[in-house]
Amino acid sequence: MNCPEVMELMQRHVDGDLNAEETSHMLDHVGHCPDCAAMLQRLLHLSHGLEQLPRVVPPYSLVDAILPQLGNGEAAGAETADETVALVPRERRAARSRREWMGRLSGVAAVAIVVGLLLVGGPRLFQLGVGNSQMDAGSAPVASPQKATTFSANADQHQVASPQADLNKALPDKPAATINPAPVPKSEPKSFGFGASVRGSKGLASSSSPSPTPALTKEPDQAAATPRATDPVQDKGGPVSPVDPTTPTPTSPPTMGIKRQNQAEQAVSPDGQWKAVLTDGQLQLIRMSDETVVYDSAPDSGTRSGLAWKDDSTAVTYTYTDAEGNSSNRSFLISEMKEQTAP
Amino acid sequence: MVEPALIKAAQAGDREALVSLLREIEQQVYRTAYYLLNHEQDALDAAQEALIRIYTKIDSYEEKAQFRTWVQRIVTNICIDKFRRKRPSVSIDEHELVFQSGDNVEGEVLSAYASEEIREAIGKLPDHHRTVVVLRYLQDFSYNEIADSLGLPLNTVKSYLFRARQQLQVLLHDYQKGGVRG
Repeated sequence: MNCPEVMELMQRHVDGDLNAEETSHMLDHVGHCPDCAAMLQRLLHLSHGLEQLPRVVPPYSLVDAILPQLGNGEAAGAETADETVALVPRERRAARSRREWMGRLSGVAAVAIVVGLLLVGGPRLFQLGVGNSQMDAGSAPVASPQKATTFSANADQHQVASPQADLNKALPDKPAATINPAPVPKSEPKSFGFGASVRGSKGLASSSSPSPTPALTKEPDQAAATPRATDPVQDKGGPVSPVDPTTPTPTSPPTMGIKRQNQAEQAVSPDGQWKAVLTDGQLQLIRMSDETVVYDSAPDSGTRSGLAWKDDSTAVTYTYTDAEGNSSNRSFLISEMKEQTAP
Repeated sequence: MVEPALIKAAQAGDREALVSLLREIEQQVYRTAYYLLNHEQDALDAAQEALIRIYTKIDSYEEKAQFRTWVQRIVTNICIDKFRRKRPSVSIDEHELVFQSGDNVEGEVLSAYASEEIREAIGKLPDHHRTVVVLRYLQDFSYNEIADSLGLPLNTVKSYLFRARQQLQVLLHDYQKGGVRG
């Protein structure tokens, strides 16, 4: 058996995919090939590192965050509502440009009249002409803010509409008046948008609570600009997250559940061929002849303790304690190179 | 593991069941996204997108596939799309990688790898290699489950995984040497 073939065996060994015969082939080769022995050790080491990667958890409940967008169970409905919102700015833009165009036109007309009057009339008429032109020019800027106000009220209504529909469904006896989308105070709509999604709320009933959520500090206008269902966290999740989203949290999460006890325990087999080592409750089996680590248990939530070799050196037994604290006897069979529950 | 009864209820239109089902899987969905994208905010976006997709597509799940492999297929597809779109602008600076290792300078040859180092190294793998590694180690999937999730032949999965581990081993080995000397 050559080294590349053994490489594949070693890779599969790391995944616990070898049978007893394949394991012994691999060990035979590794026993007299220092390169492969070193590679096996590095692969096991790497695999161990990969298994130890923190089981990161999101900084807030993602389901709570998307609940408002799930609407009445029909995502299509939510999309339609969003399209309406998206259309509003376009209408507004068109309306404004029409206004501006009219304004400019009236300005030009006014200038023409002034010039005409100047040519025809005296200073008295000149003054009158100037007055007209100012009034006309002024009409455009006045019209625009009006339009803009109407728009933002619209946007606020849409912002509120979807979660409110939810709310209505969850609390059917709630008076219809409460979902009246009439002008809402500017700070309120946000408490519905993503506010309903703040961690801690359970299910629909509490997530539809109309009380404003203090975690939200974003400007309502920004919210009106980004209410797309398909891109739920355009607000970067910042306000809803109790953790600053820019700082990577997973390096030391308390939620990993991986115990680090750093207790080392070891036992050499009666025939002196093997050594079992417990580190952090994980089992490693080392062949004494060349100090090769031939087995490295996958880290799990449980721990192992109390190593004891069988007299014939075919197996090492120990106590396995799982995350809930339940203990059972296990053994590691040399012939099979795997752990099993002891009979 | 998600109860089959819960999946059935969700498919039958029980919205509460569907929401609790999403709650059960949100952490595993996020974990995959986090390690595939190597960026918290992107992972939050991708995971939410995946949950919404699962919500809307629950009807298309068929029992012949495992539910968790179906879920992982959805989230990995979204992430692969995301990092393919993003890739041109993203490059991990080699030097940055070496000098980041401040707290781990005095190590033995085989001192434990910091998870940060491993994450960075995973981020350097080609798309499919990265995905296979994440499913193997962060979801504890078997070869077969990975093959089902990604729609790849079993042998391809093995060869991706084996190559990925070789690449990681080289990257991390170099990294540690760089860390010790830097």
